[in-house]
Amino acid sequence: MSRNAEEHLSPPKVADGESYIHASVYTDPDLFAEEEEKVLRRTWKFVCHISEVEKAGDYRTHQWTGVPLVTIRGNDDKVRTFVNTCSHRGAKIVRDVAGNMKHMTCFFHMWEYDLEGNCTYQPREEGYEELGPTKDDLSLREIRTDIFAGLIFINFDGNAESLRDYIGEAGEPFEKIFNNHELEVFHYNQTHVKGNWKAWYLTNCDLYHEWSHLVNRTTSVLTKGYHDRPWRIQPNGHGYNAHHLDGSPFQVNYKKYKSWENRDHLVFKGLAPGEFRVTDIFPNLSVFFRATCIRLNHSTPIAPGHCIMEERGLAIKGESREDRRMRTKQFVQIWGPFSRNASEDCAYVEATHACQEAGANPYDLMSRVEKFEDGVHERIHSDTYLRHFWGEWSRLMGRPANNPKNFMEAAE
Amino acid sequence: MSWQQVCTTDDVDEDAIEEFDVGDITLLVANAGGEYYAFPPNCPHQETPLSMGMIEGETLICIKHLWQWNLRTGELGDNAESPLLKYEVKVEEGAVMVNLEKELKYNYQ
Repeated sequence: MSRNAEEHLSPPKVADGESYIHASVYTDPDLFAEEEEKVLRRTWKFVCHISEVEKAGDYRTHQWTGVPLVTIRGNDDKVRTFVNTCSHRGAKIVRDVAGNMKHMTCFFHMWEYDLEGNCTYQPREEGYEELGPTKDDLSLREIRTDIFAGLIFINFDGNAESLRDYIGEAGEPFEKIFNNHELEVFHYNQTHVKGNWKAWYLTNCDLYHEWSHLVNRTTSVLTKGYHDRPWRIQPNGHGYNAHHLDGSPFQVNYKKYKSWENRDHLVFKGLAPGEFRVTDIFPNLSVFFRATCIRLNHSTPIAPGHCIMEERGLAIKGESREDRRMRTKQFVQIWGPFSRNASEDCAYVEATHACQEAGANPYDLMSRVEKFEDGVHERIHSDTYLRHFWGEWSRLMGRPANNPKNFMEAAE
Repeated sequence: MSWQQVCTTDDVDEDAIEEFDVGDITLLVANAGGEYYAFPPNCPHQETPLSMGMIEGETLICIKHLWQWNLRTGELGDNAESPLLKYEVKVEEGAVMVNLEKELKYNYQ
């Protein structure tokens, strides 16, 4: 029997009220604004890889919650992040995406800042002698910046715990492997997605959707032991899926996809041939291993229905051209802009957002439970991580994800 | 029609599935490790063309929901919820002969 409007708008009939969310968490502009303040400016956010700011003066511009930022390595070798706006009239100072510079010069009145954020030059400086301020009062605003396993993060909250404490045990699947090599970004692409940033991130975290990718169905889901991997839930909204319950690696059989080869050559030290791992760092970073490829994927929220998804591929610095060519091929096969998987994921996120925005689909289910025989650990197709993410989101927001608007109205 | 030559053994590579038309009947022939099997063109589940499927050893796999059958024994494998219909097959001097006395069809809902 199909459902009528009342039935369709009623909460899903599930035993646990925390196993679904209301679609307004993806579409509502008020929740989006509140989320910027309560979630995005209070948690550690991935910026880029350390190889992107290798030498003094190397910089990368970006934005977070709409605030323009520049991450730059100083002459003292320290990586800092500044709000990328001039202390004078507020113009954006560094206007290119990436590069190298000796100092930062605002193009409006030619004020200048050094790599440590000090205001070092104003044309006809004597004009401020009578009323002030002095250059010392005009340095750039610095945002907390820290590095974990070569990954640069920022946090707007000066009182937040340290990055290492924030990531905690969630770093276990990738920290050692990242430290086994000198890595560099060899692939970058970004895509504007007509969907909510959380929907993008949670598609990465929803391994049940491997059914949808032909590549994953044939190379992974068919593989013996595929379902015998538990979600490892970590504090602060993180989680990972890395090994079978007995600790052995999950090895994907890439050869099962026509014309692809197995990934048993160029495997990163610390991984088994074909090994797959994924780590999800709240609120929006996913670190993937596919034996020969490392993918850093995150999204920047622009509006409730618009985010920018960024892909970075990491390779071993100094490897031969031949090896790099093979690694590039294997990376773009699955995660390149014209790959099957990344474009399919965009289609899923945009398809769900279009329906949610129209109010056509009021709820989003996350009630899958597939437990191991021990009754404790949950298998990869459980919605374990999705429930964990929304639990953390609800905690930070002070609103339940399954009914945020009613809660808001009641509070008013 | 009863026994008909559908193809030769050289027409179907090992671990491949090929589609053939004999009169009004469309059927697939699979070569699983040198043994030949013939069956209707679509999956009994949702009519997905099995020509896009995979052969692993004696197992036929539909790539949509990964329903699997043992081609030799007919046994249902992982995910499969209903049997695969098969034609009788014999190989005579390199000719793949299939008994097409009656076209095998699924009763799709």
